[in-house]
Amino acid sequence: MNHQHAKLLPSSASVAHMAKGRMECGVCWYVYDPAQGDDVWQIEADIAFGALPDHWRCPQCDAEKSKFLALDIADENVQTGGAEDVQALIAAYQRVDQERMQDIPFRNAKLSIEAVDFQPWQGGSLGVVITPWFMNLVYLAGPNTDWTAHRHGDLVTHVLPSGRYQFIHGDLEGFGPLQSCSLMSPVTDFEDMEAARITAREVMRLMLIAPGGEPEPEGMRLKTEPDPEPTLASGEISRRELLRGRRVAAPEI
Amino acid sequence: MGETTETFYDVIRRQGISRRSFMKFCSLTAASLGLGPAFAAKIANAMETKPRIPVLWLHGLECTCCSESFIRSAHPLVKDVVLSMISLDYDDTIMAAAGHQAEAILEEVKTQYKGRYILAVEGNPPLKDGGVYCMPGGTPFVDKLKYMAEDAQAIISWGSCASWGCVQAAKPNPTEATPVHKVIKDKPIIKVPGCPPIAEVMTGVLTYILTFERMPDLDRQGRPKMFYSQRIHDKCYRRPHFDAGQFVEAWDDDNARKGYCLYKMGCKGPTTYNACSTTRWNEGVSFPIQSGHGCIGCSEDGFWDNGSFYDRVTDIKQFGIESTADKVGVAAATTVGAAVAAHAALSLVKRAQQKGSQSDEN
Repeated sequence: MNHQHAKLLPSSASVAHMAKGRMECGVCWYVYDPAQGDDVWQIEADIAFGALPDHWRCPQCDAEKSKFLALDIADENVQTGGAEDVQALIAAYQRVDQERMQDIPFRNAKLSIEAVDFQPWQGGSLGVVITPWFMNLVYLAGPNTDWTAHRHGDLVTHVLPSGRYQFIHGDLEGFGPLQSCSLMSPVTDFEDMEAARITAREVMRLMLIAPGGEPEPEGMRLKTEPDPEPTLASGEISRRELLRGRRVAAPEI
Repeated sequence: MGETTETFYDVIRRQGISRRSFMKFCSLTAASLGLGPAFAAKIANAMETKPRIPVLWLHGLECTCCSESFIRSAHPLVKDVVLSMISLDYDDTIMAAAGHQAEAILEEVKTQYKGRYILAVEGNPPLKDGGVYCMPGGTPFVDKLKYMAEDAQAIISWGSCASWGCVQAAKPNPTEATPVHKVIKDKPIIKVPGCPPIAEVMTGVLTYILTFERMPDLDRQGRPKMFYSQRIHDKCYRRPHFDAGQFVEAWDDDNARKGYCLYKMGCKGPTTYNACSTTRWNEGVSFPIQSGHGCIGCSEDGFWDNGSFYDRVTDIKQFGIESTADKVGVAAATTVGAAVAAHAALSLVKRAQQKGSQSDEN
């Protein structure tokens, strides 16, 4: 798989997930296949569609680049959970680790860099990334994700079945944009990779299941009334009463 | 001081605040507490029906930065709403009354609202030489604190002074300044540390207590989880730079201009539990890291004695002794047990979860 990294790494993410994708002209249905390149414009093989020069036009009908539509990349990406992006991401973090994180005191040398349980989500992919210095929930863009409005450091809220989570929009050198929600950093408490991996899997499982019940304010109840009434505040109907079809709170309960 | 039966809503309406503004206040409050929109109605209901709970605000050894922060709260707005809502009956810094007239209020509330009022404490009592190093109204503060705490139903420790001791308790602590929870041991105490705490956190804690008549959910150190369950580092907008290993190496280097991570410049974000990176300061405008300086960890225990502001954080026992916002128990996962991992994962998920806020920013 290493040759794919080489192809994916130098480009931005938008290019990264188009790298293998074929693009079809919306006018004449000509297909640009990066594996083949394009003889008319003298484009070599392995040039992603996104990396084509701006003056490039459809070799068959002269339509602009913007007329082209993704042919098979979307399906492919959904099926694999963006597996290639994930590999590119891991490779980028491995480089960060080797080049810049070795002298960080709380780097947990027992951990390695790994992507756990990435799966298709909202057109992109979602999973947990473990590194020796953090464990994050990471959301990667899909081919149709539009992140042009987001800047580095923006907080973005995403809704998962288990609740709402704030992700931070970032730009990883050698990879491109990604959004991550910190689960843990530093990760010095993990004794080995297996512990981190199992925890990450469990995190993903919990993230994607819906919690039951309606939210209640948490915390210990205070005694505020001189004679505390056993029922809820006047006019309020308890959940149980509501489900039984009672309209007004009954004081004797 | 108001009638016993007067509700928050009565007071607000009497002050000429419209119903519309009141409802807006309720939804803003729900959002600032990290509660969902459903809670806005609950807050409104509580404020319309529940009698006001008096709050007494005592000042010990302190610098008044907590009060200064508090009166600048934007949501809820202290000026218009909170002061009437919380019925701040006594606060020797901002009250109009003075002298014996002021001190009489303490006595009045203590008897009239016995067992029901909230005691908010800013600063801490010095214990040395019988407490003579802090003498408000001519009596040692420690005596006043104990006396007023007798009939309070809960105590709020404002700021790092009341919560941990702060600068006056820094070594060698000449006046034996002592945090509130080491003096009062028989009352529930909510610690709201920070030097000062964020204004919206202070008003948020009060609003929560008074509208829901509950103590907020506290962590093992007695801090409200809704504001203190995440480290600055977890939600810092510079976090992607940390993840990518991009650090400021000197104050005037190019990386500083690019806004890289300040960890190597001594930022205490990775060990500090507070809401600065999400709630931010001055109505959400900025916070220290955003203005280019690392976090000094002012809401952590003993931060004055933890070395220089510019020393790198090296020893992080996040689930050990030092930080106990949530017991995660990963430390016990030496031998991998699925149950331990499951417990750890659940804690991580709960901590990462945003509680209901609607907004996409801040």
